[in-house]
Amino acid sequence: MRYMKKSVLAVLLLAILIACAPRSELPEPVDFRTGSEGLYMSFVPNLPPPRLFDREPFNAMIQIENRGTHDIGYAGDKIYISGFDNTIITGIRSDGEPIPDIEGRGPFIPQGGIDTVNFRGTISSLTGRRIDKYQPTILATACYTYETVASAQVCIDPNPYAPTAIERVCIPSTVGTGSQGAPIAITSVEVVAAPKKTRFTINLQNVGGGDVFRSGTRYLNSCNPYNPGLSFDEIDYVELLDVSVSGIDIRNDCKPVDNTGHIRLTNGQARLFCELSLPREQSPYLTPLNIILKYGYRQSIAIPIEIRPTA
Amino acid sequence: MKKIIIAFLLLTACQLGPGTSIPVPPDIYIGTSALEASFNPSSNNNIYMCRQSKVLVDVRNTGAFDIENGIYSFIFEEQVLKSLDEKQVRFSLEGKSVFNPPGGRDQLQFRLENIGLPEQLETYNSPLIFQSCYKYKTFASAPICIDPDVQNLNQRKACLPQPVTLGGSQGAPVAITQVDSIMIPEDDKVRPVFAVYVQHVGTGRIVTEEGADVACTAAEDVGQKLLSLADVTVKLQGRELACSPDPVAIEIGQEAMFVCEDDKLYGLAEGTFSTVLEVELSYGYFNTLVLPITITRLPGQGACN
Repeated sequence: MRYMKKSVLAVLLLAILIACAPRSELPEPVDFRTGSEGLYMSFVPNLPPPRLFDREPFNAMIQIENRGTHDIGYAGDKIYISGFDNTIITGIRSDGEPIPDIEGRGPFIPQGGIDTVNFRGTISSLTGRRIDKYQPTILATACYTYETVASAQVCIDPNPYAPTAIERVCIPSTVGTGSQGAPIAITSVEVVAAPKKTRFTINLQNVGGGDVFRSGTRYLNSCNPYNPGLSFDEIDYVELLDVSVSGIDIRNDCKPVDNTGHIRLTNGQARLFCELSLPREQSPYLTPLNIILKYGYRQSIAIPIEIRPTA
Repeated sequence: MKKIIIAFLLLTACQLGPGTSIPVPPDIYIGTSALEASFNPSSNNNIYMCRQSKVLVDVRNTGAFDIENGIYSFIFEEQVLKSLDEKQVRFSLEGKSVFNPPGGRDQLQFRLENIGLPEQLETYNSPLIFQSCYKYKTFASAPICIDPDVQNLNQRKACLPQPVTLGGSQGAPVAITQVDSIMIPEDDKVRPVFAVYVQHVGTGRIVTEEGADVACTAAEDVGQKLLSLADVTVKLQGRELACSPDPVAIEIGQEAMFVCEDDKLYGLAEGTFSTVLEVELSYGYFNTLVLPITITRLPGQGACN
């Protein structure tokens, strides 16, 4: 009897030990294409300090974080600071500082890269100007190229009005896609099936809080606050790089796209109408619709400072 | 153990708390006064016939400009009083500065003597007028915005040109109250134009710079010198702007305005930025102060010797 009790206790102890043992789990890829941000900027605390004195060095440091899913730091990606009188704060380059290479988030990288960009200048003397203080707002503007990659499971039904009743695995309907870890989001895809054709209405939205403009080095240069600026026919455009269903490129069957492959956003939103032609014989099926957008993006942050004369 | 606790308490007590802030230099260009004068309460304004009296005047330069070569003047009825000190004195008095935030102060002494009263009078009231005349300047630095992007192509700007209210005082009796910035397009650039509003906020009188001397002495033909006119100097990024009208007439209770135009054109390549418009007004100023003097004959007193 006593031996029996000991055996039961031993079995119980073993069961507890097994239950509490750490499970050796393999890392699983995560759904990383979420979020509405690309580059995130912030002034490093106390750089610049809220109050400065003349004849001192001026130092502004901006921390940048890639919170999206596309890499940043290509040629032409830059950060500028502006908003101040260059006869008072001198030595700051008007052609900006390049954004260092910062990796975006990925299936096994839950956080994007972080880096800093530094601006150094000098504050000239205010003594002769007979002013108590100079209070500019320092504006940091980032101009960079970004991409949105979206994938939606859509139902393709080449023969929606078939006279014979067939078993359907899906019914074409609107698919919500949310955001994809980029400031321009494909928010939803509406699917309308017709005989031999499936039509897609792809809804885009600027969700990043900045300005979107045509992709390309020329436009990145125009984004510089010291340049003539982006004109009305350059801002609020995204380039359509790819629209494909089951590996079939349907980009040329999408409207409205201009002759440079760009789509115009109005009030931060756009609708793209695409069409897929298929033989009637196929039965309904689910397949991924892939969309890639490329664009320039501009966003800015501001910090007020105060400069006082030392004497 | 007790020693450790006491040492810990002492150390924490010596730490700077979160509320401790770094002292900031005081704002100098604030206030509506220049020279402030008042008769000291210890001044004797009751004189017995044929006797002397001493009047003390406290003066302070509470404005932001240093007074140099100003004039104090005492005016009285010479039929009944005579001065034992100089009636007109040149003076200089430092204004407010970072090193002397309250401004310079001084005390003047003026001795008077009664030279007699008509026989029929037992007492007589006569005013002693203290007048100070000096050159003064108003300095204002208006935070303004230069924006060459009139079409608003770039909607992310550090500032926008808009009227700037300056709070109504700059440490002088004439204040710049408002500055309106206008960006006038010329080809693909802009020419900044500024409308500057000024007002007399002090208690004295404005005259021309040349009038500062003659207002207290009246030693020469005053001509146009006592008109309420101020000379205007306006600078942007160290360049002097052309202003009109210059000098500007500033009447009591009315707002005056002058317009300044920059020679330089600003292009989009210069970006939108905030800077300082430096405004300087030069004028003459005078204040008047009155002390009633009572002269009393002693019972049975005759004429003075």
